[in-house]
Amino acid sequence: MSSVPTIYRLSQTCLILCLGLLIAHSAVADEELSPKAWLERMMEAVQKLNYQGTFIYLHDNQLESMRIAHAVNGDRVRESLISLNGAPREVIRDEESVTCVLPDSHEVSVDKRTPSAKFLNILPHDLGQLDNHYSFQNLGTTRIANRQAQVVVIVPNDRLRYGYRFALDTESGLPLKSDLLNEHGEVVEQTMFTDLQIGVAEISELHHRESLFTYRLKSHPDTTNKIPLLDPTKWDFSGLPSGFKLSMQHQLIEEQGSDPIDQYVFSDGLSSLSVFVEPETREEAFSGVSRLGAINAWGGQVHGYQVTAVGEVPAVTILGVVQGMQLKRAND
Amino acid sequence: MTEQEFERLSALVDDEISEHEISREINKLKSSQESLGAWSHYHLIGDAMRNELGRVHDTGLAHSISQRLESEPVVLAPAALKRRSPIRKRTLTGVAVAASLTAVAVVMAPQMINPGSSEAPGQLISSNQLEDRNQPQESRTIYVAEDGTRWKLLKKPKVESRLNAYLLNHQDLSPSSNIKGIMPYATFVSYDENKQ
Repeated sequence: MSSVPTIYRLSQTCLILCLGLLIAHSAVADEELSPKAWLERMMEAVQKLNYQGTFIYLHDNQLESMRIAHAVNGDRVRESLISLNGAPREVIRDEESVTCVLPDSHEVSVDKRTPSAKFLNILPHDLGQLDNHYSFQNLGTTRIANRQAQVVVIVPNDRLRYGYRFALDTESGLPLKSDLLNEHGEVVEQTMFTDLQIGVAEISELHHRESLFTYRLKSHPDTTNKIPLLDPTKWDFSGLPSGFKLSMQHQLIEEQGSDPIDQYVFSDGLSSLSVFVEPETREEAFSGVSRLGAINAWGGQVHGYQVTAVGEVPAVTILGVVQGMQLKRAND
Repeated sequence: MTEQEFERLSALVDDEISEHEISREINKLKSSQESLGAWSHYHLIGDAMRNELGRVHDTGLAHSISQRLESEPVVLAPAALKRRSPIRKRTLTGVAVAASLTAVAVVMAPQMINPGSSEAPGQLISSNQLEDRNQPQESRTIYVAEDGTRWKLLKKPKVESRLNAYLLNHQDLSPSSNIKGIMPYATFVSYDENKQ
């Protein structure tokens, strides 16, 4: 009987030794990767791996847990996000649509994704375009969800965009922990996995609840194949922070017969904001400033138009952009 | 699986099957993935009925229960139970698990919806939960009022709903969703228990 534990202990020691060697080996290899190489690895892992897990999400002094799953099947990607607190809210996204099930607010929406979303895909080599506005750094290793992680930070060079701090799984490159830091270097939003399985992903089928109210702006029916560009001479955005460029503009239509809404998306390659312009003021228009986690929003009148701006950028950036909006014709 | 197979499986879960049939049923169980799935669901449902689930819930549970309800309503009919001759007297909780599926859907729902937000102010008890008060639930489930908003400084649900729509449209086109996958939608999925 006594030999069994000995053998067991021996094999255990072996295992620990082997593991130790493995970790030591990967640690050496990890040190050699540049911060950008790490981020490239992360982007690839986030998009191409099958994974599922539970993470906690902290924002506005609220702590929540959510379940995420990412399934890749050939070219098709299906992702889901389910809240484990409160009402079981859920977002399911695939190539064609985003479905949100928000039972507590009686909203379910299924919407076709804009094909042009692909235009915005940041390919790894595009990280270079961020050099003027962000700096990248490796900040040692840590352990998250019982996994070894490499800490990489993206620090903005001005106070007009947010910074990021990632703890990336050394094995897969997936972000085990992400912190979003505001213009004062304070953490405004954090997500951290408590459990992560790589190589598996189970996603429930879409919910069908006809009784629930559907509300979502639809892309213009004609835009399914082609995005009609708006008159580019209409607005002049002079308040954009340096590096922010118009990355896309298109029209949204809410229902037949209503005026289309123009959406302008600006991005520096990492941070982004959208400006929505409507010709008429509706009964209950959003007016003033608001915030949801790291998202800032502004609504109000600009030269007789109802304008709403939202984005994961500091409030001051949003305000600058809307204040700098000029009708070009007015200048002529 | 046929209706009869489901019925026998349910009987097996409830220990209401004759002894000489047990090993045969277990063998069948081992050979079929579908039976195994049904078996675990029946157990889960039984646990839920007896309030033994604790606070851990399978995220797919509600879905699988509703699917089961749709796909095999006949098994749930009391008639299916009568045909069985119980070897011993059933206890209250032992009332064939399958037969109590409908009730479970009702009992489980509030459990899943309510994370125990008893400290949140301004609670309301929703009407459908009032109806459930005769269920053997220890804690009454509580809903937080719905007329609040997750957006700061915003108190109009209509405006919020609109802002949500804008945010969704924005996030779909935001490069950060390429970096963090579906993670940016966390803002959206997040639930505010401190609605003002």
